[in-house]
Amino acid sequence: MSNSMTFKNLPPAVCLPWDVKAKELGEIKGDADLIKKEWETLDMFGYIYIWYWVQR
Amino acid sequence: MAKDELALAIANLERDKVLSLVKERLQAGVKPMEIINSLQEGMVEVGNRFEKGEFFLSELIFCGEIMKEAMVELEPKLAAGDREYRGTVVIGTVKGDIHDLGKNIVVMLLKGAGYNVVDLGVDVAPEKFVEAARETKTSLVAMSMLLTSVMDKMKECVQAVKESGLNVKVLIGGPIIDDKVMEFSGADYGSAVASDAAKIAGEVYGAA
Amino acid sequence: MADVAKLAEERKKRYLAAMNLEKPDRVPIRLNFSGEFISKVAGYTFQETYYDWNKNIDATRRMLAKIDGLEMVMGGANLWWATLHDAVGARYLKFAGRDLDENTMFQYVEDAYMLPEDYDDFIENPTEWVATKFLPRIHAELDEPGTYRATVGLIKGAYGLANQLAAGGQGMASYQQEFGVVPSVTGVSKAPFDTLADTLRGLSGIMMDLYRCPDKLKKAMEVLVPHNIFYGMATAQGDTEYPLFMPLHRGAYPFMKMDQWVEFYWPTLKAVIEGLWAAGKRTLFYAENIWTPYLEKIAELPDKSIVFHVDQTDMDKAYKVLGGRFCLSGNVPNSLLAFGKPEEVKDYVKGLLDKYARDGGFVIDAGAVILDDAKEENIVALIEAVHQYGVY
Repeated sequence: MSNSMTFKNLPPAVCLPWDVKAKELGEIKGDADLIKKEWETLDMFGYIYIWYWVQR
Repeated sequence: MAKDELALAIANLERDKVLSLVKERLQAGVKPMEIINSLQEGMVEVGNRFEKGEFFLSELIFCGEIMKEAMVELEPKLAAGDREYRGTVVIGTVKGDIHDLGKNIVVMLLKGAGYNVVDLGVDVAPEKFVEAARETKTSLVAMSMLLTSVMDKMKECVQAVKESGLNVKVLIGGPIIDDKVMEFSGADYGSAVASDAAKIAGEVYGAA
Repeated sequence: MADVAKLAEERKKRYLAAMNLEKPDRVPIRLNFSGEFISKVAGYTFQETYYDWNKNIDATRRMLAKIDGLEMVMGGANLWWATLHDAVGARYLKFAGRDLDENTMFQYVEDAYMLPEDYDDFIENPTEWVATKFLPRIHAELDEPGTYRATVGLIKGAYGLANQLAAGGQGMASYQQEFGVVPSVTGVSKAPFDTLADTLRGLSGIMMDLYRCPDKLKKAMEVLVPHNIFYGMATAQGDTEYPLFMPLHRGAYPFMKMDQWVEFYWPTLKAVIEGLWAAGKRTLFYAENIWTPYLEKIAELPDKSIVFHVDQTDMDKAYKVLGGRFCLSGNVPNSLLAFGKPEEVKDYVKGLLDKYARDGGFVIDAGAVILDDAKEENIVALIEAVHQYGVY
C-alpha cells in the first residue's frame, strides 16, 4: 500500500473532511452545526468538480 | 492448429513462455525470420479463435502486447531484406475520425498473417490514401471508421482511391458496416468483423 | 400555456408508466439526440453550439419548434462546452472550429492517463489522486501546479462547470415550459469498469490489467462503487422519477470473454445499480453495441430497477430474457435513420411495436445516440409510425 496520499479513502462528497477542519478551527463560538452543514455542501461541489473529469 | 511450441504458446497467450522461447531460439542460432514465422502461425490461430467466438478482444489485445514484446527482441536482429511478405496493405482511419482501436486490431491481425502493413494513422485525408497506395504499389487499401457521422468523408476517401486509376481494391471496416453502408460507399469489400481483414487480403493477393 | 403544462404531464405519465411495465395510452418516444444533430436541424455550425451557450440552448429550442411530437430531451443541447475545456487545456478533446473543421463532431483521444503504478494511490484515496495526479496530466494549463497559470486554470474550470450546470438546468426548464417536453434522464453515472477504462486507463491499458494486475483492478472498482452511486444521485439532484443515464461501453460483446465479464465487469456494476435502486433511482441501462451473451446475468437485477436499452443486442432474446421484468427501449438502427427511407423506418418501427410493445413496458428510441447523419424526415417518420401503430 502506498503512503503518498494525505487522506485514506475518503467517502463520496468529501474533499476535506469537516472533522479535520473543525480541529484546526478550535473552539467554535456560535452555531457549529450551521458551519459544518455549509462547509460540507461546498465541499461536495468541490468533489463534483474533481470527479466530473473522470465520470464524463 | 499450430504445431510449433512457440506458435502454440502465443496462441494460448502464455506470455512468459513466448518470451523465453524467443530468447532461447535466438541463442541457439535460429534465424529471426524463422522465429517470426512461428509467432505469425500462432497469431493466425488467435485470429481463427476470435472468428469462431472462442477468443474475445481482451485476448486479442493481450496477444498483441506479447507480440510487441517479442518483436523488441527480434527486430534489431533482422537484417535488411530479411522479411518476406505476402503483400502490402495500406490502412488508416478516415478523415474526421480519430478512433484507432479497430484499426490497430486489424493491423495486428494482418501483420500476424504475414502482410506488410503501412499504417497511415487516424484522420487520414483522401489524397493521403491515394498517395500511399501509389508509393507502395499496394493492391489493397483498408479504411477504418467508428462514427456513422463520418460516412460522407469515408465515401470521399473510397472514391478518391477508385478514381485514381490505380489498380487497387478498397476495404472498409467498422462496427457500423452493413449492406446500406456498403452500397453508399462504393467500396469493394466491407466488414464489421476485424478478423475478416486477413481473409479479404488473402483473396486480393490470391492466397489460399 | 396551460396546454403545454398538460402536454408535459401526459408525456411524463406515459413514460413513467412504460418504465413501471404498465400500458400507457401509447408507446412513449424517447430519442436521445446528440448536440451535433440538434445543431444541424437548428441551422447552427457545430462550432457555434460548442462555443456559444446561447446558441447551444437555442438550438434545442429551434429543433423542438421544427419537429412535431418530440416528447423528451436529455438536457442542454451539447454535453461539451468547448470553452470550459479550453480554459483547463484539455489534452484529450478535439473541437470543431479549433482543431477540426467547423462542422466535424468533437472527438475524444483515449490514452492511459492513469498508469499501472497509480493503482495503489487511487485505491488509497481516489478523490485526492484525481485532484493531485490526474487533473494535471489531462489539463495542460495545470502542468505546473501552484503557478499562476495552473491556479487560474483551476479557478476558471470550477467557475465554468458551475456556469455550465446552471445554464443546462435553465435550458431544460425553459424547454419544459415552452414545449411541454420532459427529461429522458436525470443524472449520469458509469459502471466502475468503464470509469477506469474510459478516462483513466484506456482500453488497451485496462485489457492488460485483466492479465497483469487483476487484484488491483478489482480493488479499484470496489473503491469506485460508492462514488459512482453518489455521483449519479448528485448529478440527478436527488430526482428519482426519471431514470439515471448510464452509458455502458466496455462490457459489450466481444470485449471480454464470459468468465472475465462475470469476474470483472458485472459485480461492481450490479452493486452500483442496486445501490441506486435502494435510493429509489432507476437506471437506464444504455447498452451500446451488443450485449446478447450477458442477458441472463443482467436478469439477476431487481425487477424494474433498470430500463434495458437495446442497440444491437438481439432484440428477440432481450425480450424473452428480460421482458415482463424490465422495461425495454430501443432499437431503431442508427444506420436506418441515416441511410434508410422514411417508409423503411416506419416498417421497422411497426415491426418493433407489433412484436415487443404489445404488453406495455416499451419505449421507442434509436439504438444509439442520434448523430448528425440521421435524416430529419426519418425522425419524423419514426414519430408518425408510433402515433399510427403504438396506441394501446
